[in-house]
Amino acid sequence: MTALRFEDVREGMELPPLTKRVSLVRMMMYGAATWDYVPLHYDAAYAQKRGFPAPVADGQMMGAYLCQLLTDWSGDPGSVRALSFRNQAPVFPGDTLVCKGKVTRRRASGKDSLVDCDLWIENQRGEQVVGHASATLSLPSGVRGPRT
Amino acid sequence: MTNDDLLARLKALVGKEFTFAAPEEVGRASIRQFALAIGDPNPLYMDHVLAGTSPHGGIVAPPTFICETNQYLPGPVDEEHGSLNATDIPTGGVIRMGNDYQFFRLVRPSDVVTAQWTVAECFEREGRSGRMALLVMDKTFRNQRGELLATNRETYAYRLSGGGRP
Repeated sequence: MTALRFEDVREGMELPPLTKRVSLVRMMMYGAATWDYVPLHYDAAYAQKRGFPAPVADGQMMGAYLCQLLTDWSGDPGSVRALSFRNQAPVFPGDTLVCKGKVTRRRASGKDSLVDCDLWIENQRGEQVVGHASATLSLPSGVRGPRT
Repeated sequence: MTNDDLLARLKALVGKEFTFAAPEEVGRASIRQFALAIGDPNPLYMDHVLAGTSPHGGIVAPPTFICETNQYLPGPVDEEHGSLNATDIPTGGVIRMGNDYQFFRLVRPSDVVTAQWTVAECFEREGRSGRMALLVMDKTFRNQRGELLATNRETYAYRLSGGGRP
């Protein structure tokens, strides 16, 4: 995977969008992988008792998706320094999500070449399910060489 | 539990700290399981031969992995609420509002994680569906060498008025 370089980034650039299809199986897999067995994420009867039409995807799954959006673009999971987001609407099995982002700022901080992005996730109806989201990436800059 | 009881219980938690030390390494299998669950096929997460030739020198975990796995919590499982019985923080009817992560070092299979949770604040807010109590938690993750891996500030919302959806 080729790592994105600071010089390749321009303010206002859009990140290549990432599409994720959410199924009940994937929600169950996420719960198992994170040792989180909260029934809201897989039990339809429990979800209805709580006032939801169907089980609700774990909020942090959206964080994992946003991270993939960033690392698919940068080519390096080590590039992500910070990520913040707010869950704005529930995500249900059968939803198709598109994760999107835009570069807001390039800046230097000490030895680091940093890129700030605004991020968001839309569902198949164009509703924003995640917003108020932003990230900071540290990218290689200058002479090409091995990354640490 | 009445609303006032719940609010009093949440407010009493502010300033409390909980430390959890995982009994074993993270391991390659749990990293691969997480990558499969989120549908991220990045070979750095699951192909140790290819990852070995990368600048990272081996398998690493997706950044948010450490902020979400509860592998370090002691049991047993609370079947009613589906959580591990680790703290006196109420888990019934809670909804997570959002997260603020900072990543300092990629997690590796050999890392043994210690998590420290601090209950930062509790406040009331009028939400779209009524009165809510918000509980802000700061979580810090370190490995067996004391190296800072990540921090995660997360906000839990508890519905205070009426029933149904929080």
